[in-house]
Amino acid sequence: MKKTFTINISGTVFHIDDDAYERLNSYIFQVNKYFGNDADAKEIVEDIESRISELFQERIKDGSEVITIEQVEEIIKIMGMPEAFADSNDSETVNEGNYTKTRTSRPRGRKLYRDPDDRVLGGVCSGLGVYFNIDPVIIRLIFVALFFGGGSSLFIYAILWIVVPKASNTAQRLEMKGEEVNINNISKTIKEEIQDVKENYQNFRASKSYTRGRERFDDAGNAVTSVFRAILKIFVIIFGIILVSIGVFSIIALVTSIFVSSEFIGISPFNHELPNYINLFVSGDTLSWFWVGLALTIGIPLIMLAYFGTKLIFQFKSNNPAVGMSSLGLWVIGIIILICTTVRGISDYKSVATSTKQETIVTKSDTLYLNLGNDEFSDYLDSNIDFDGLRIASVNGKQFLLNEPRLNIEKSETNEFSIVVKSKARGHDYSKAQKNADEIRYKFTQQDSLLTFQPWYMLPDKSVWHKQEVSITLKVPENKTIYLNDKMIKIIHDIKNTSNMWDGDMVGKYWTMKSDELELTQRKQTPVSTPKKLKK
Amino acid sequence: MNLENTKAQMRKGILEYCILLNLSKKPSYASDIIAEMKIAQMIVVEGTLYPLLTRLKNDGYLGYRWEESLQGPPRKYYELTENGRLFLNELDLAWADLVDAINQLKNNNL
Repeated sequence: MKKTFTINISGTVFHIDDDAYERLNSYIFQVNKYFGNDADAKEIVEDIESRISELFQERIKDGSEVITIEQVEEIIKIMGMPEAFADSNDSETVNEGNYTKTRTSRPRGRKLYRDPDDRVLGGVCSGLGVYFNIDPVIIRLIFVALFFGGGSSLFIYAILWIVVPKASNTAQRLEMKGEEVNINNISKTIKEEIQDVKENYQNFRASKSYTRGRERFDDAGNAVTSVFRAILKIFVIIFGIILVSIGVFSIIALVTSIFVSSEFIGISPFNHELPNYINLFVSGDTLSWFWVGLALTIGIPLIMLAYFGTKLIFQFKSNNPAVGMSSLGLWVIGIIILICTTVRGISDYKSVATSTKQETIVTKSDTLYLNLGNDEFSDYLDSNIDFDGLRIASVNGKQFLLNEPRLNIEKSETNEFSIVVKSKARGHDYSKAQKNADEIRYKFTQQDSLLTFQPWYMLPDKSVWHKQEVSITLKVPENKTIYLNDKMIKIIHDIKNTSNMWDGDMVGKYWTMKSDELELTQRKQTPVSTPKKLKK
Repeated sequence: MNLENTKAQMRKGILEYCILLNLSKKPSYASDIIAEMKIAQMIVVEGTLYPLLTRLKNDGYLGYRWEESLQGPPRKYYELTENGRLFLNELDLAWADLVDAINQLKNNNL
């Protein structure tokens, strides 16, 4: 059984066997090549083709349906090889009818091939030798030397073996040597080959053992070749498995960390502090989109990694552009989502608003004792997180944002003590910022002449950090005195005083408001109401 | 130089003349010429003819016309041009001279 082609030779259709077609095709190619490219040549080739067509028709009439290789060979014999066509008047360089026609030809560059005629393993060295016009032995020595000096050459050799094609036909052998591929050279090479075969045959006759040895050597070479290829394949597969594992495990880790941290905050098996707390800083909507963007930007490359690994393992060559394009598209979308959510997140801090509450402190005493309340959250604070005073407390699996207020002391316009609590917050627009500012709750308590400040202010549940700040201003009338308890050091901030004393040095002392600033006052007794420690 | 080669060279030299002679009787197409040349043992491989025909045509000694054929595609019928006839006459003379010369050489040798 043979495959047949349908061909058209100068207007007539023929069925032709696969091998016969190959033969005929190469013959017509040779004829074409011989006559060159001008108009005359075209005419000649057309004439020859029409004659071939005619000869085929005669043979079809004889009863056979399909043109066989034998018929093609017969016709080639009738028509003759192009060299025999020599029309002595056609060429300028006539030499007693001997065909020495010189055709103008484009110089052909050499191509790198593996030389199968002179090989030890894969013919890489001999091919390189032919290419660079160096004795292959020298290249082999270089490769061996490199192998013992680091082993890099083995890798290079393997790559070249795979990448560089073998010069398997005459045309490729000529290209390897950089000779022009024309009928003359091809026939010359064929003749050389025939000569070689003859010599080999003679050698074979002369010494059977030699040939046998050579064959065995070739077999050994082939065996080594296949072993190397097998090893290489194994390496490729191992590499593929590594890629797939990295890809798959990273994807699993990514997916679980995203889901676990966003769905079950606080009971995440991964102790990722930031993802847990991120809800406190970014609003839920923005956050979900952020996760989608992040998943795409990180996940797509990981999936591609796994995909590439699978390709290596199963060695299938799929160049489906849809896979690459769609993943690239998704990846770009992921990045765009990330950028958008970031921009949106930032825009949540665009506007600023403040909310101010003023309260008058009614007391008979001339001296006000300032103290800091107990920090009920001190045991619940996450010790890892402290963004410039901003802290996170976890109570029963819920996170709260805490921050320290700042206390300043100024001169009162009236004759009474008063406290101004100013909350400041940011938001997407003014009303949102105002809402965020209003939400902040800050408490202080008054017990006769003792003022106790809460050491923190807390953001209400489910609210998000919007750079909320609380600043307290205690207004002290002229000639009235305050006492700063030691603990107050945590919240006092840059209080003006005549002694130009640092905040840290101001505590544990009495201060009296003079014309504009506080003045240090010496008193012997310390207040009775030093708070007891109420540790939880 | 072997015998076959020398014979081939001799034939090649007069192939042109033979083709023109053939065409001087009647216009014919390539395959007919080939058939006649083969009978006369003037050509060995058919491919030889085509470059020659093309060259003669280009030199103005031959012309051709397409003729419908009963079987297959139209055929190229070659015929001698006026120039071709003059050329052939010259060749006739040259051939006669050649034959004379050869005969003379033969006779002198005897």
